[in-house]
Amino acid sequence: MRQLSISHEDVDRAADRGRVARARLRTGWSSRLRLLWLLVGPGILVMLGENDGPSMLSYASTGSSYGIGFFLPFIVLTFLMAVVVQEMTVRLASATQRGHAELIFDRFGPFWGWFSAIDLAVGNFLTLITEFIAVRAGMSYFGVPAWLAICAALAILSLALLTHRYWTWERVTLAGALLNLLFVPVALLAHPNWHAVGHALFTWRPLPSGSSQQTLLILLSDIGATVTPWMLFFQQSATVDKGLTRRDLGFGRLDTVAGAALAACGALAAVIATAPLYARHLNLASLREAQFAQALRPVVGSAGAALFALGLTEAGIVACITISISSAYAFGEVARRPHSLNLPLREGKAFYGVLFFCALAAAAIVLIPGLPLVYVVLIVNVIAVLAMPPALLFLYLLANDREIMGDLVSPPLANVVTGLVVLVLVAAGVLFGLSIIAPHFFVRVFGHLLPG
Amino acid sequence: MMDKTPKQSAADTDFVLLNLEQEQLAEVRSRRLGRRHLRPYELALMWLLRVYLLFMVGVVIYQVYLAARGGK
Repeated sequence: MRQLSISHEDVDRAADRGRVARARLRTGWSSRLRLLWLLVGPGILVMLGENDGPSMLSYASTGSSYGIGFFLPFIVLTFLMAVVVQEMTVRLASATQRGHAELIFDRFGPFWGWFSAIDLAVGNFLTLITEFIAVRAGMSYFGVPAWLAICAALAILSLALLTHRYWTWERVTLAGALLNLLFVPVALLAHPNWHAVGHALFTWRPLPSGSSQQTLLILLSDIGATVTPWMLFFQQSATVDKGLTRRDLGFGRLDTVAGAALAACGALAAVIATAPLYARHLNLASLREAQFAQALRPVVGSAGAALFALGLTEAGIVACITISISSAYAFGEVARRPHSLNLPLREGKAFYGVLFFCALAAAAIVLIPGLPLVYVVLIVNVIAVLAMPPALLFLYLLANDREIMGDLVSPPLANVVTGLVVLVLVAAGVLFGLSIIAPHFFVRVFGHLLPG
Repeated sequence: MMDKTPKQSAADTDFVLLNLEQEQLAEVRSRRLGRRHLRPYELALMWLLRVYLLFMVGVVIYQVYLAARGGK
């Protein structure tokens, strides 16, 4: 057999895997914890990364529009959906050692491959714009001018990549992503009625009041805040880049569940923190930039408002990093160029070039004055939901492809749940479409069925 | 693609082969997997969801137009 050539990327990944192998040799709790520490990452990053600027603004808009009630358990449900879907990407990565985009290209051909790549590129670019909007909004609370906030976000994105090492990048970004939990103290400072929170989580009540169309927009936006196509591409590629194998699958699953639990805490905290604004009839959807945190100041105090603004900034910055990397991974996989965070700059010019180009272009658009902040954010989340069913079909077909998956093909229960998720997403999309195209028909036929 | 990659030393090669499974090597991962045959119902579903997505994107654009006209 011809000798395989070894790249710099392989050497770095082998160093990471060597640590895992040594941890496996030891026994006892401390070595199990060490193994967990070494193997978690992509799942927590993808889930906290998806608690991004638009998502947090969507949750804040939910809290201020509907208070504590139906949307709390609904958000928990969306995270359960996310776990089912994302677990498939861990399985695909462990079984095939390929990214999502290259699997679609290889197995379904370039025609469908390009469709999925274009969906991802457009969706990611729109989402990146909203991430910079969130950074701008968060920093404007502290009086930081928009251009400086955007430049700072780009500088942090560059710093995170300076090491050209997946492991270091992952740990630095994880530390940043955990700041998403800043929303938890903000929720505590709002002195929520815990009885109402518990009641809402178990009874899904009170149901939201207001226009059905607005409720549907928020519903779709909250789904889009939890399950989006970039997550599929990112987690699968990051799992491959990290080097997880079939043997690590259990830890990969644990990583995904832990990420979902942490992200659900952040999401619920954002709803609970902004719920008092509902009682004051103050809807965040009508506000701009720094007014978000300022509106919360009478409820959570100056410290709480500052934490909210910081949390929003963090959410935007972390997602800028993860989403631009997901675009770069997909580009590398489709164009057959080296694609790894272990690549030195000279070997990964195209990879890093795409990454920075996407971020720079989105940042430039955000500097246009007068963008309708919350509306843009809600619409981008809705687009993410609409793009999800075709992406899920590819995922379903790949995860059931015995030729590449072997014994890791999806179990029947996962297939049923995926089918249900697709049905729910398509039904929500169709209802949303009807509410726009034929609003009177929509209200007459579905108005009484929907909350609101 | 891999030809442009600088060659590593023999020690590096041994280290990599000791710690990585063969299918994890960048060169192996760069090889294409074969195409799979799509059944007619799978192809129909793909087209159906593609049409759904394009239609819904049109709806979103219309919604943005309505919102802009309404001065939201």
